[in-house]
Amino acid sequence: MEKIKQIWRSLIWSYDPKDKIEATKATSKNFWLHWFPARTTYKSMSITYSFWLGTVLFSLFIILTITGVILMFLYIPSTERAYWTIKDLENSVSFGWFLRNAHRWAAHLMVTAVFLHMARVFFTGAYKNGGNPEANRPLNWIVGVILLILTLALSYTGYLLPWDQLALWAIVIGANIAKSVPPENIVGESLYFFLAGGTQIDQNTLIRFYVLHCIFLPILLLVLSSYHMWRIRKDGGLAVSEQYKIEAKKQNKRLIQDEYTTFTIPFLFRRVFMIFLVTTAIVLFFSVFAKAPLEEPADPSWTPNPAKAPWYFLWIQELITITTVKIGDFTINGGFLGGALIPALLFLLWAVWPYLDKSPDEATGVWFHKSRIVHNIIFAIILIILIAVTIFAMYFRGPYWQVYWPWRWPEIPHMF
Amino acid sequence: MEERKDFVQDKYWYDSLWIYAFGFIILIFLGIVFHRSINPEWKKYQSEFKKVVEKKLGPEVARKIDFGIKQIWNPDIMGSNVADRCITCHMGVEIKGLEGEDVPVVFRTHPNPDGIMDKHPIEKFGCVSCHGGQPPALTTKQAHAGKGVRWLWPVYTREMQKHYKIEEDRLVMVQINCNHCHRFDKETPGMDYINLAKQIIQEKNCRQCHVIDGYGGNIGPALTYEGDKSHEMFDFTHIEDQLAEREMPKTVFTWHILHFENPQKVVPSSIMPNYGFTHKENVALAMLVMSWRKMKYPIEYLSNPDKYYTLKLIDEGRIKAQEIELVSRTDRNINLKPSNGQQLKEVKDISELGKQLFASKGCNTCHHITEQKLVGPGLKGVAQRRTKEWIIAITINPDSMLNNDPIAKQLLKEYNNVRMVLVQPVNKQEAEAIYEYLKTLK
Amino acid sequence: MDRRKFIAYLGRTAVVLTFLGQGFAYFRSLIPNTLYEPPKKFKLGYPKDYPEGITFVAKYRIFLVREGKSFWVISAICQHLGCTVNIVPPKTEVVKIKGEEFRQKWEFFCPCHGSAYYGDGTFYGGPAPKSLPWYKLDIGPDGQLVVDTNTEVDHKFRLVVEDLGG
Repeated sequence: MEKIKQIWRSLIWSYDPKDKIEATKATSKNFWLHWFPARTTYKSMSITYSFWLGTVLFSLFIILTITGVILMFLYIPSTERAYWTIKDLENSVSFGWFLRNAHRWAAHLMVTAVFLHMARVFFTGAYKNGGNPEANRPLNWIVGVILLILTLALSYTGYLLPWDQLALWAIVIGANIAKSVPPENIVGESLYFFLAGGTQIDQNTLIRFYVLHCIFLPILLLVLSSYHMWRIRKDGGLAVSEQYKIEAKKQNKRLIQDEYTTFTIPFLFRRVFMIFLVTTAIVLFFSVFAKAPLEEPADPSWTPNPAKAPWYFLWIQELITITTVKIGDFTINGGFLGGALIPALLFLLWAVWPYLDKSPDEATGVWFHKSRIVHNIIFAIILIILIAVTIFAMYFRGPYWQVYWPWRWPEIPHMF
Repeated sequence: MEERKDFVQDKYWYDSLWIYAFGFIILIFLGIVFHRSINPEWKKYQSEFKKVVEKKLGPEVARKIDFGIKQIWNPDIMGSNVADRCITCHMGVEIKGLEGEDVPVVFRTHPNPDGIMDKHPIEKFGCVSCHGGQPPALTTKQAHAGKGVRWLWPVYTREMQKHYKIEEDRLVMVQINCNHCHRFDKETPGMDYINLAKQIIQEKNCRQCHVIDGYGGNIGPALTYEGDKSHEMFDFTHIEDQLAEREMPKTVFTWHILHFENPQKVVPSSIMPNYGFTHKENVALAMLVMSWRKMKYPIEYLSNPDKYYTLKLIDEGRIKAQEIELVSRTDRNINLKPSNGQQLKEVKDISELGKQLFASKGCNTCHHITEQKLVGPGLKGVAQRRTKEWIIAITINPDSMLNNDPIAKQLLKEYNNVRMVLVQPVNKQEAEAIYEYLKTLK
Repeated sequence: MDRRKFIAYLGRTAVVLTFLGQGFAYFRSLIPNTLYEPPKKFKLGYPKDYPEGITFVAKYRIFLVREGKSFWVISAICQHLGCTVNIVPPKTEVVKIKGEEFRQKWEFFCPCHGSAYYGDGTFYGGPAPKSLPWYKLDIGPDGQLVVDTNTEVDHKFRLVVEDLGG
């Protein structure tokens, strides 16, 4: 028994250090943990400062990878079989429904968490260097915006794979948005052909989206998110850590390491593990109590009424509807204006925002700092508009994209 | 937490507690996941079935049943990875001895009227190809509802028949699915509703205005694949109040029933005559048109496969529909061969012959013999209104009359610009006979 | 202290169980509950449609042998590593199987590793561990041959069809 205990300890020693030296070595000498710093500031350990959304996202990525790899064994990317493999997941495969629900909910939660993560970073001014000459947080913010787009792309490519009506028509709409990027006959067409692999959404599209979804995008996301986390380390930790230096400078004091930092092992690591469990619990909660939808098999001959894009693209779909401009014979396609130009400008604006933000160093890593009130209000207004437009498109757009009260939708006829 | 970490104060000791707590929470959720996976709905049905068999056929038989997910897989009919799993719950369909009323419907032996089950063995056809439903589903809700507005295989039930006011004690709507393979049968034993509808199609000469099976007129919409038309293509605005009043569901099937009942009430601009069908006839016709779908069944499952092949050739534009039309018109002739002068002489009463011609040439499709308007004017008293020459001219060559004659032009305008056409050519003698018949309509 | 330790052990066990539970679910999902494969019991058509001698039925990987009114079925799957064996002309016309003389018109050879079988499927050379199995053959109520590959029969099995129906 003692022997077993000893072996066990030797296997997990770095997680359970006995003294300060061992605690420091635990991170630097462990391959899996070496991207953690040896010491962590108390402020960045706070739950209510960052809500640990980055860790939540990484946990979701792990859950998605595991469930995704299992699903790859059970799924066949063929237009004739894809839908029925999903039906088998729902019916005959043991735990198949759970796998699918978990994967789907983790994906939706990931999109949500990316948005929240970005909002958190913005409202706390965490993209600022705060006078730290070694930091380059604006670059990391840009990487973050790219990661947001990658997450959306992953979600979008995964949406097609069940090959049901919901999937098909969401993808048709999305691919045609890409087509309307001017000059349409060069850029738009090429984009469409790249995505769809033909003039219509068919087997070619399915295999493209499958490869993008399972190999290309996840690897890209993994590489970029690793860089994203490595940069945090090189930028001197979370932006809130800069506050120690700023305060010390103000009070003309020397910083004593033991006073403002603690050991990554075990405290930070344990908290990361805790967040992982919390995320798993949330994903499980949704997978148990909310079913992933699956409509009729994809049929290009009829469109569901109304056909809606996935919820995180609904704001774009709504913008497309209301931004087609007609002046005499001259028409600007809303597909381009609302579907490509406005979102592209928004993402660009977000990406370069840190360079437009001239607030003082004190605002780094502080929620709603008063010097950044204008920034925060502008950001909040954009965010509220996007959420409002999404909700409007989700609940108030009925058949033929007409406006209805959600409880007064006209009855859609059935066949029998 | 304990003495081991005394080198630094554990400010975050409660994290461990959270970890434990969430460990338990996840365990609870996992418990639900496992519970649901281990106790699916179909297991309840199977254990119930065992009890029923024990009671009816004895424990010996019950012991021999092997349980688990049961499926029929015929890639020819459903698809390369679509399995028909109805028999997982409906375990008794093939077991003899469970016919009685005391056996729950779920487990009852499938009835075998006229040996239908011998011709359509379950291990080959499965259940869904006839009854509809969702083949791979293993829950009642999914398997029976075929949820969604336009499921591939709608499920037909007796409850559904009640919605459509079909007063029958048996399942008749499955005949829709029978007709996927028996489409080109003139008459199929057991398919009374579809047979009735097919008879009406012949009698009323629907091809005069509609393309059916690839040929026919183009005055009305083509109906060859009417059952494949999406629910989005039907206009319900004029029948909303009718639906509410008669408590009929808002479905394409209802639309067809009401449309056969009174075309103008459903589509006000329609010129289709109101034939005054009975409700049974309306239902039968609705069933027939809904059965006209493009199915991908292999050739050995079809009756009259050569006609499906012909239809395919017409679809692909490889043969012309008119050619088929002429061929089938000649074999459709009922009593008289066209342009046969001898037969004209044989009949003593020439107006009697005209009456027969009036039906066989398809005049009655558009013209009523009273004052009632169908597609064209009612013909009561027409011999008094028009000259003999005028009537004979328009009977033989309506096209030139409609182009040149002022009265004919006026009538054309009056009747929504629907041009009079001949189903079959009419010669001078026949036209005279028809005129004699029209003279008797006073 | 004891109570704390107890809670800690309980909690850690719970956490470990969550991973084991999820891992089991993922693993179990990869073991199929339903298969998309042809059934083990299948129809082979009418006996009169088969010529005298041996016929290879590719769809089910079996040989159907007809000798006048008797029929039998031999598996075409090599007992070594599962390749499909081929029909080859016999090396010797008369062989001794279990002490009995047997006249053969063909032999079976496996292209993968050279396993050799006599005309009745009895193994005599190469790496194969045993002979080709014979499957139960029956006549269904509709007059068609029915093969049941779940049931093996010995080499004396013959299905005699008296009424070949023209």
